Amino acid sequence: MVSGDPSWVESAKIIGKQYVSHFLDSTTGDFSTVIASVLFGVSGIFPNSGLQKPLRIVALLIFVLALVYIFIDGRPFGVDVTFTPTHLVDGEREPDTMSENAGVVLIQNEPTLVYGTVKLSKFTRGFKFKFSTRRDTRVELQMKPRKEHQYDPSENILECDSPSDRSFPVKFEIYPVDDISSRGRYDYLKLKDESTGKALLEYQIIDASY
Amino acid sequence: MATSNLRRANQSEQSEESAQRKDSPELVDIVEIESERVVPVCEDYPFEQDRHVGTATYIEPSEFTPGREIEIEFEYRDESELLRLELKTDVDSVNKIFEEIAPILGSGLEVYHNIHAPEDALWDFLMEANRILEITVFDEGYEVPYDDIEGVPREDVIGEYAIESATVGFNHDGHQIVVQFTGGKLQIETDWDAGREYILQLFEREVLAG
Repeated sequence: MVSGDPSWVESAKIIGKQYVSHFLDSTTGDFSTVIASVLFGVSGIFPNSGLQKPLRIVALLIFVLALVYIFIDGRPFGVDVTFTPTHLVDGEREPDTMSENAGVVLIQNEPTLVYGTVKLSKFTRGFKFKFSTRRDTRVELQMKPRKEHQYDPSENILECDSPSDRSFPVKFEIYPVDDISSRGRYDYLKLKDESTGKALLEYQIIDASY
Repeated sequence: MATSNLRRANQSEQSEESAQRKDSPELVDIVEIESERVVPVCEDYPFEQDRHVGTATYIEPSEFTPGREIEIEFEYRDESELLRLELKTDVDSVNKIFEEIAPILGSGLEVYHNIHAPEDALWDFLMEANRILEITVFDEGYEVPYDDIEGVPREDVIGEYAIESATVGFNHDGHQIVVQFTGGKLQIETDWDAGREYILQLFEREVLAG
């Protein structure tokens, strides 16, 4: 489903969900919560001393600094990308859900077509995505999603400074570079946000062709 | 029925590496190659370009036999960067033929696996047709007819969803032209000699000019 740009509420939900998820996954989030809780608890032991207020300020400061650090560390928020490797079943293209669930793109005897969707929140100004593989396979967009996008196939960068369409499909092919005798069977696919250097998605590639 | 395989081809830094790898074709025997100016046959044709047309014999390698000889026709349109390979029979690897043709058309010419045309521009091209016989789009990795997506009206699908394949009919000057597009392959069926050129120019205008 790609139809329709996300609304402001949807955009806030995308960002909120990604931020909370990153906070819960981060050790900084765990440590800051524990330390701030302990300091807050200790401050309650000294209700009438001059220590209570400073301890509570320090606890709050630690927690706020952790929130800021996690925000900077986890960017970009508001970019929701999904990939689904596909394969042909009786001549019809279908999602390869087993590969998808395993985080794998399986190359058989044809280039593997991966279908995806990109949703950008209304708070996201532009994007610059780089598709990369290591060395034994190559990734290439089959079509550029929109006229307003720029795609450099030699660098494999898809970008747009000011997208008017914030929800669009992406489809790309993954294929082996050389003959099977001179290449490895394992590679990886990475979609990187160029402005922050963060990987938005990573898949292992297994070349099962002969 | 011949099938036109379409690719994007241009000069790039990466192509230097390809040029070093292969200086001359091994499996293609060029019969002739001619260059001429493209004469517009459709309105508002945006390109002023030369086309380089060639015919050749390709020897398809085979493990157990000397290989079969296949007649091929190719064309490179230098401003729209469209490389077209015309085949009247199925072959094991179209990529191999493109690799063989590339050095003939110019040193350092990089032939990509796809045309990288904008998806919304392809919709514009299909909507120019007089009849839509079939369009299938990707919906969550499945091929679905464009007017059969649950909960999404047809108008919201057009221009938004990724196209898997399409068959449309054009009427021009009393001629009927049926065009089939599937993942970079264009099949043009017409009794009119200039029909192929007309559709190619329409395709270039609507899809590649952006």
